[in-house]
Amino acid sequence: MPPTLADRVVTLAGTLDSAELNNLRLLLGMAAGTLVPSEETGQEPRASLRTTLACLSAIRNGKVVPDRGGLLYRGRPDWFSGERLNELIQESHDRRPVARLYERQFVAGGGTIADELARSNLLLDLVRAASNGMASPTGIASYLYYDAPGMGIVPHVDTEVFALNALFLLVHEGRSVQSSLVVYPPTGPPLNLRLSPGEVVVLDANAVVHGRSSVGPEERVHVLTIGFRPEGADGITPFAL
Amino acid sequence: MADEGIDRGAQQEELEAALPRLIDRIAQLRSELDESERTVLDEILVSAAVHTEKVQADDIGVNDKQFMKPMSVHMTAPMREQVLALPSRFGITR
Repeated sequence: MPPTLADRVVTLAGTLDSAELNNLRLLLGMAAGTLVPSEETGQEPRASLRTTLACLSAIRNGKVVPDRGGLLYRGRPDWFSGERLNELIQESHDRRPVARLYERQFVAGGGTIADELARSNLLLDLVRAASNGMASPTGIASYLYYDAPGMGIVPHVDTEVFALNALFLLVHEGRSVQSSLVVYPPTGPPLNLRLSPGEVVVLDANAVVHGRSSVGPEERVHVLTIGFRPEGADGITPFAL
Repeated sequence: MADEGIDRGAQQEELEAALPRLIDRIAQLRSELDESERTVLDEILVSAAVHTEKVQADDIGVNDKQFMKPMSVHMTAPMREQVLALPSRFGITR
């Protein structure tokens, strides 16, 4: 069987240096930002979207568990107590005034409690277990806020800082609760993940396209996201921007 | 908290320098495709340009970028211009 376009792009990726590879992921991720919304009709996705999702997934080339479609973990770890959740919720409120608008989300760097969690062995163990043991902490934690009608984030892939991404849903409240995290695996239908406060997701976020659908009137979402970097990346030094 | 010992400005410059090289490699790949494959690749390239038009222009300090998740945060003004020019570079009619 002759190579597909996705095969050819992945072969090309294998010959690129780390900056070129980063830019290839950037281009594919930007393409997904157009292709995914245009395909949300319930029909079979076009070849361009299938190729884009397949390339983003395959370029990682099996460095993390490949058969979960990018969603590596969903649950509530035993060690994530209600007390710790409430501390993070409070810190998210405290950090909201300094949050900066980027696209359709507000972003603030983590505070003391989030940063401590970002360096904790408990979280590292969870991410390593979910990603076949290949993860190291970047130490970067960010609070994300979707708290005005229409806020959300279009489908995208993440930077290398958040290549593996532990995402904590802290707050989801309001008169209407309609938005969700949406993951677009390389094959199969999108996964709509409406998490409960305290639930944690680990994503292969540099390789799987994901986004958040728009919040409605009076709906408010606070998320904590913590970055990890895959280890043993075939000699490629990931960018840390 | 931040990654220690990382010169993000230098990394950004490296990404900017790498984009023309990548586009040259894509041009080479494109020249080797049959018509149907080229149509698919062209749709991907145009889609990247279309979304780039919509994302916020880069005005974020390089040390703040580490807190932003989407890869679009890497898109500096010179990179943005190159991506927007992809359809014309390859003679693709939108």
